[in-house]
Amino acid sequence: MGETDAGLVRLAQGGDSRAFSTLVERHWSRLVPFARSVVGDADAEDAVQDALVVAWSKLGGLTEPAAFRAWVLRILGRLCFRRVRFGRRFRSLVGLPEPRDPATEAAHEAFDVERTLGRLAPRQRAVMHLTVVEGMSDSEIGTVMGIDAASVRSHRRRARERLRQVLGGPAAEGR
Amino acid sequence: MEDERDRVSEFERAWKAWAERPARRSPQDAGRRVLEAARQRRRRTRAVRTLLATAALLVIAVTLGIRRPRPVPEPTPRAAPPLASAPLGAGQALIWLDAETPLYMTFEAPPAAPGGRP
Repeated sequence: MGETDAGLVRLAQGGDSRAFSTLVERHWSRLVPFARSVVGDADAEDAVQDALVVAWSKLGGLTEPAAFRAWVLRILGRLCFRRVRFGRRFRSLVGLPEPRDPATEAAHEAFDVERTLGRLAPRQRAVMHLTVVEGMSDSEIGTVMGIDAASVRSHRRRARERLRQVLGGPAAEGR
Repeated sequence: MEDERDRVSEFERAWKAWAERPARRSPQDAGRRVLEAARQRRRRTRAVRTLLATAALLVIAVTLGIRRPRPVPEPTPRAAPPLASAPLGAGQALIWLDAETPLYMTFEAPPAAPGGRP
């Protein structure tokens, strides 16, 4: 289990499915939050599973095994954007069971996070997630999203302007 | 303006807390499901490929069958008209009116008329 990502990727590239399973276990809990931010809570885990299946089938093409996480995030991003585009709308988790964690619950209870995120474009949600939740640099985000750092900054600026409008209340939204 | 910025920062903290809630599936369960889904996907891909290959073969076979030239029936050799090969006698002539129509003619001097000129 002490194997690095690069080592596990090399084993998995040689056909070792247990090595790939270990990679999934290792990255699952970091990938789900990203999908949650882009496609919404209800579809997030299915989106991550689909992305990992694609990753497993294309693993032979990964030339930099140490960059596994960024590579999978890129696949996941593309699948999430496609899901949003083809009608699997960002929806709230009404009626679905949700694990309760009192420590974090209070922090997001003050906002209807999912509904507010629905007011941003999918790419803005992705850039903001990688900034706010993952704490990535602009160039890292650019690598994951397949865009340059200037576009990353532009997406983030527009996302924050939008959030300011939405969170500023009805008057600020021009309603 | 400052208030709005604070509100956005506050929202971003709430977003982080919301996004980082534990997933419903455990990592072990996720690993198992991913491998199972990959196996199913491989089986599906193989089935689709087989189907496509069969369809392609069928199309090729049908196309070749349609394009193959049909054998043209050879003309049956006609028997030569029996008359054509018949030997001509003295005072006989043969004229072909066309490739299939022979015309036989017999030349004969008329009989001498009684009381005719000496």
